[in-house]
Amino acid sequence: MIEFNVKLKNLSGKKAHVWQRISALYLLLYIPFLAWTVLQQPKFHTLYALAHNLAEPIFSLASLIALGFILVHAWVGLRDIMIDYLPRKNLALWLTIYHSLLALLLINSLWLVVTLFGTL
Amino acid sequence: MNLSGNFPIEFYDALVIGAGGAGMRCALKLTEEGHKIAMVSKVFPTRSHTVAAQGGINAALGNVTPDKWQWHMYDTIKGSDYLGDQDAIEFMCQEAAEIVRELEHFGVPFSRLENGKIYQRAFGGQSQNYGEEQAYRTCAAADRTGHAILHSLYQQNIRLGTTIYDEYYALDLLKTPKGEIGGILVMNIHDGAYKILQSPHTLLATGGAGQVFRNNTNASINTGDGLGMVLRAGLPLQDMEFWQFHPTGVAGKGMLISEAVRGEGGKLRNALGDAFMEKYAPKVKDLASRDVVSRAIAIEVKEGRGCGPDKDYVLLDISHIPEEVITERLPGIRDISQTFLGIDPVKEPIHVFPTCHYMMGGIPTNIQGQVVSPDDSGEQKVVPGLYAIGECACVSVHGANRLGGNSLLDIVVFGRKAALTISETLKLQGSNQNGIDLNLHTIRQRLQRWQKRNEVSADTSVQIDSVIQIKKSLQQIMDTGCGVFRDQQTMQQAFHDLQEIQVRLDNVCLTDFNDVFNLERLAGLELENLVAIAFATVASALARTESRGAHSRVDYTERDDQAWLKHTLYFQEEHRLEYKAVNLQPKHHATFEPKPRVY
Amino acid sequence: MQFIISRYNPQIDKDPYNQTFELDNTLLSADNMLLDALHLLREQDPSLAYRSSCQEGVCGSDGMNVNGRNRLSCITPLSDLPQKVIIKPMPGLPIIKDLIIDMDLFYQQYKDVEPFLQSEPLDLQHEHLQSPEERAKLDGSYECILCGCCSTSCPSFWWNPDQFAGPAALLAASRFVIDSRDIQTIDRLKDLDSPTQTFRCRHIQNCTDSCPKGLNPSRAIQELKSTMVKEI
Repeated sequence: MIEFNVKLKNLSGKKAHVWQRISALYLLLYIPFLAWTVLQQPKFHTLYALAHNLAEPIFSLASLIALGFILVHAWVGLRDIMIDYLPRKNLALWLTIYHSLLALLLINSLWLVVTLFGTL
Repeated sequence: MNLSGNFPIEFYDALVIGAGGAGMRCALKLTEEGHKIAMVSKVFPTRSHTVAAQGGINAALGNVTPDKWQWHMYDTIKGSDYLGDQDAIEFMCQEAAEIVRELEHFGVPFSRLENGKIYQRAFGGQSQNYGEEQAYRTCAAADRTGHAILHSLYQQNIRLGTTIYDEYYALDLLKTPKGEIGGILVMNIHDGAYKILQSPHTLLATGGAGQVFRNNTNASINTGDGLGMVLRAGLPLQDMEFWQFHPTGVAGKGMLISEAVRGEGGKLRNALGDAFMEKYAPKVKDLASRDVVSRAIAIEVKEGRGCGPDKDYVLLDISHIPEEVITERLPGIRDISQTFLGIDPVKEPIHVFPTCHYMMGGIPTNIQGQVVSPDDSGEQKVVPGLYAIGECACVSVHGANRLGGNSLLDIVVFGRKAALTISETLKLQGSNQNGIDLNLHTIRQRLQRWQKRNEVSADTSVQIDSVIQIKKSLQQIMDTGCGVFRDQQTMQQAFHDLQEIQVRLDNVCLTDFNDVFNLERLAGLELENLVAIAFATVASALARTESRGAHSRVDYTERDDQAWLKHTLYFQEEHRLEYKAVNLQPKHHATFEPKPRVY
Repeated sequence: MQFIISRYNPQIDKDPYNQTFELDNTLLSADNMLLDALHLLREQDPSLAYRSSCQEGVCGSDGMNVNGRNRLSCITPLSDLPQKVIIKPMPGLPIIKDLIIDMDLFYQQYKDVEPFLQSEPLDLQHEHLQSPEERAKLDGSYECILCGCCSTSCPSFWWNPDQFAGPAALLAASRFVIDSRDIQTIDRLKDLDSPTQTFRCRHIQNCTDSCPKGLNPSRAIQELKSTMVKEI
């Protein structure tokens, strides 16, 4: 219990807050950009075709960053909910599992990106 | 509840009873000096009534107008109608500037002047150069100065980790076999358990007792518990006939409307719209001393120039003051007026009438905060182990009438002083526990009395008396018998009625016998103190056949320095009175000889 | 009027229960406050327990939950209430008796934010200088009366009263962060930087809505967050 409290103390509220703000701001700009880009697309029939059309450097980079920020945003949000409402006894354990899951998801996403765009 | 067994005992270097401004200033100093102390309070510290003080605290800082402590001293003595002890007043006024700067250092958010210094406002009865121009001497945190000071003092006590027993009720002083004061018996309000706190130094800072009057500005906790304890210990109370009626309480309800309102330019008007204070105090008008203004309002109403359907109040008009000033300087007043009268003072005048506000009398002490009592030869002797400060004490710095802004000053100055006295004694003599008389017979009897059950038959037609009903009757008696104006006949009647109250009190029974937050029993214990104080007031007032300060008699309208330039001492036993001389020998200034008092 | 009051006496009752009291309207006048009505009810039943002291809204003793909202009974006009008034103790802290709650956790949270001025050493000849503008920044935070209405209406505080400072304590913390006389600003901000402290506040505004003194703890916490982002 004591050990866990120390751990919680080490968590910065401010850093998370800042990252949440930055990611929110970025996504606020990115989503209209995404909508606009998609609407600009010529007709396509397969996902492969769409991916092909979208595979120009600026959009890819922006999407990659957005993906990262979605994960960051979700990370802070869900972490806060867990800190707030999970039984405190095993919270440290739950947070570790959650963080590992996020890491896994990140690797998974990177793999997706690589397979989608890498084969082009 | 177990009344027969032994009570648990705890030992301390010093005990502070009461956690208002005085108690907390004192406890802070004692803790800072490294003593093991405990502060006992029947409420959480920030609920203490210091919180309700509004206008400010006097100190000759000279931030707005030139000022000297000597001028402050003169004004205080004149305000006291020459009954204040001049050595004590001198000491208080000399300490004022430093004590205010110290408070500022503790974090009090004083309002500020453009140059960054503490804001000071005009208040009643204050002058420059011994009675000339109006002085601006009252340091203010908007109109919440008491709140600001009390919270800052509590915060500083948090910093030092002072031991606080909150929601503990102090029942009675305990004596050593030698007859000295050796501690106090307290009751935990949370579970009704008793505990003995033993200490060579017990300090009372239990505040006022405005609850003896029906119309008062005081909190319901202001029941004079320290005064009751002192009377039961066979010690006297001083100058209990002097009760300040604040000129501007919310009419019919009593909430305080600060003198700051007049300090910022507010005018009192009667039903004809006349600013009537010009008539009573041609020079300073609305900023005359409080007793003067209260009498003026009472006269206006008595002579039929009151306002409202019953012509029973006057108007306090600030509609000519710019709204920004009111928002910045008097936000709390505007709040109170809107909440309790539904009146926005920016647009409409506030309905006000004099209401009981402050007890000038109290437990007689010297400048060091030590309680004094006359010995058999009439000489004033220190009561070993007992101290008193703040409103419950009578040093006497307020004499027959207190100036606005001097009560907050009184509590911090003497709070610090008493702490220094105790601390020096502790350093010299160590914390010797003299042992207390554990027999506690009378105290146990008193507590047993409140265990008495109602043995009434099923006959519900008999109206059962209750603590609440007795308190209401008591307040009614005091309002009629000992108000702004007094005379022999009404006071005699009041004294007679009080004896009936005493009989009712002796016979009343409780209906609640639980131990957790038994507020009925608490009210009973408090009522014992209130009745004792009412007796002290009426007995002292009946004897004083003159008008002085707040004690104004229609049958003796003049001040009589020949016969009455002296303090009253009241003893509970047979309502005996003694007298003691007023101190007219300040240390650093020539005596201020009594003069007619004109404003 | 009808008053349904939550009663609980730990020496007798296992759980709190509701008791219905009736007060004849003729006993009440138009300008009565809820506290006046409670005093009248106490005449009917002297064991009815609630705290009260100053009776004018400055001591902060008589916070209670009235028809679902935390209020001070002494400044709640009866005319603002319907004929049926449901009174409960303020939620989220242990009940001691009837409407009296154990506020120790609340006070402890206040103490833990070091709510005292830490300034340059005392100079008995001069006060600290502070401009009226600097002083004006304290308006809206120093007036807090520690009644607990805000913190006991805050779900984050209900959930973790031993961890989360709560709006009252954070308002006090912000009062010393913005005081121009305080020299520990950065340390204060660092101490408050934790997901269980300042950042546990989600700004749902319950505190601001319930504050009987019209203060805005939520905004103060928001400002505390921005100051942290800027200063540390």
